[in-house]
Amino acid sequence: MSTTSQHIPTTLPDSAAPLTGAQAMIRALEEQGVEYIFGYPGGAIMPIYDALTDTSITHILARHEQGAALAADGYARVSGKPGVCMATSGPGATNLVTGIANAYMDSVPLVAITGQVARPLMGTDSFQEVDIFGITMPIVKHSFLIRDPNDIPQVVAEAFHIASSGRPGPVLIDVPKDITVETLDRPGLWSAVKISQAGADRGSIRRAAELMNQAERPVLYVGGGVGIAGAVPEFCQFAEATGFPVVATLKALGTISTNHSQYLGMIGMHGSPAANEAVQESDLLICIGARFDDRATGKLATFAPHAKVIHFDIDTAEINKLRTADVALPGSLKVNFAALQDRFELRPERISGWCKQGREQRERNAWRYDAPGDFVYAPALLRRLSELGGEDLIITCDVGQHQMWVAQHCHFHHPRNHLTSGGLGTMGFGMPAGIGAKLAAPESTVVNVTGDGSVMMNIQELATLKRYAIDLKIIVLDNSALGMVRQWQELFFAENYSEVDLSDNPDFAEVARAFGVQAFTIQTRAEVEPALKKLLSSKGPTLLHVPIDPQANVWPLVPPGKANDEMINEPGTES
Amino acid sequence: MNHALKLQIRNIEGALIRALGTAERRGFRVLGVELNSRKKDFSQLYLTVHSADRCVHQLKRQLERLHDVTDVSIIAEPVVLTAAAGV
Repeated sequence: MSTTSQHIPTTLPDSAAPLTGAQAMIRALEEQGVEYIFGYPGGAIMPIYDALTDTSITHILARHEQGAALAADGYARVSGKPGVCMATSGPGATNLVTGIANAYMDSVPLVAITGQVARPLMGTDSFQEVDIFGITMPIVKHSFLIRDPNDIPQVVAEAFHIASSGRPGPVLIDVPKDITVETLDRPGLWSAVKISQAGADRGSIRRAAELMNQAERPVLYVGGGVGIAGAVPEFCQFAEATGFPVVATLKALGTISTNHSQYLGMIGMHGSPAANEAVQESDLLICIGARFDDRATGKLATFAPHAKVIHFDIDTAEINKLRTADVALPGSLKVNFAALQDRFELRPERISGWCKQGREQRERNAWRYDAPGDFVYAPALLRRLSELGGEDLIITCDVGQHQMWVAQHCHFHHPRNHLTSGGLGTMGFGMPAGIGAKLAAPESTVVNVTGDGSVMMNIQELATLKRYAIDLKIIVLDNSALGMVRQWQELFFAENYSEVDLSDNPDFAEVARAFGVQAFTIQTRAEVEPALKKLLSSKGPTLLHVPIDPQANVWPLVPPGKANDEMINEPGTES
Repeated sequence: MNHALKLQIRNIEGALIRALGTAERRGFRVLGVELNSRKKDFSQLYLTVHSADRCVHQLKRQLERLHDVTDVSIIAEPVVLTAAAGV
């Protein structure tokens, strides 16, 4: 892999009076084209909030700094541009930590700006002082502690560049308060090294093509990296040129149409049997922008045991991390697709039986929506939501059973239409992420599908919805329990239920109304269709509360520590 | 197994901690550290690390991802630490 570089000088706009550090920070953010800052003020960051009243940037006041960080994350996932969040020192900064970690795990470009106590007070345990630079070190792509106001323009430009280049990730800028009130006397110029990622070397491309030509049971294993790279059309073109069956990770849903004849479904713990079995039987696994996460692979030692591996990734540290690659293709996905596309030979007769086997397995395991019982059946509701919402529908999830039902039963037409906390598994992600998503795509319908456990983790953001009239729809699937934990206790802890009962939940519709958000509740299956139509056609933020069967589980399932071909189905149903 | 690495790091706040933290968090015990920081912009950092099962090439790639780390090489012999040498 080679890189080329070009220098981009960055400077602040001319200004008659010298800028304070705070003004320079805001100007530098404007220079980066920032539309929104998600944040919460406090002592150490007050000078920056003072400068915020004189800018074109819109500040969205969250009601908890975690909500601000996750909203910036949602904005970044949908817009493809870095999201910006801001908080004061001490507890403001520590409240951002979960959001920063969430962005790190899912490779989301995020710039987090934290106030810090003044330089003379640093290291003295002063009021609201924490070492946020040290606290966040393992969960950022990079971080800066500004020691000189003249560095502000350079640091901000560099932070945006690092956050969004290569494999994206979060960058922290910690700014001591005294720096924001001092004036700049010699603002630094920043010369960016713009890294344009080239592709893999010719020898690797040739070896990959040879493996593809020889394969009899090949599978394309696509991850979130394709969407992040903006390479969805290129991937689809490549996949169709090969004719190979495609399986997707949770983060890659929507990369290829759910109805595409080559698509076998999601792999992993709650994936489709067709996808998991194809990977297990494959003789060539082509991993594209994925990272062999344990929820996707099941027991790693028995994952795709007969397969040779070709691994495409822009982050070379992912290659050979968990599974040794026979051929590594580091660098730009687009460049590597193009390079490889001209090199392999199509031999459809060699793989036609294999492809047919996958399609038949997929058809045999088609989802059924005729579940017995009187409770609203969540999978059927979600399938209908997906149908009614259309191609532009964006769904943000929280974490738990509902998250897996969304992954299984909703259809996505692009990975950015499915916002899920895949790596960190952050309960409370969905509502703030939905706020960011709606601001990034105001023309799209955005629905947060959540659970009764998750919704309580950031329920204060209902106030943000109301304040800015953000037209987010919320569906609370309420099983009066921490459903996924309850399911595991039932299946793997001998029904020893421990701290999963939430039957004393508040009335979520009443809670929403108290925040000024309209809300309604349904109880029966017959109400689902009109309720979804009412929700989708409502004006302004609206919450739909749906009690569901407390005993419902997510099926099928690979038990923890088992191989992906050891899936278990719902008792009483055929495999 | 013990491994030795030679890093060039920028003289920027946090660079040393970031490199050491990465080694530990990725499953390596740090046995020896020597820092030569006499130049203005860059320091040489020699690390001797141990892992029973992790691949040192993987650690090299993890270290190369850090923005404060400008070069990493795996060297044959663990460097003789000045303290250990009694200097």
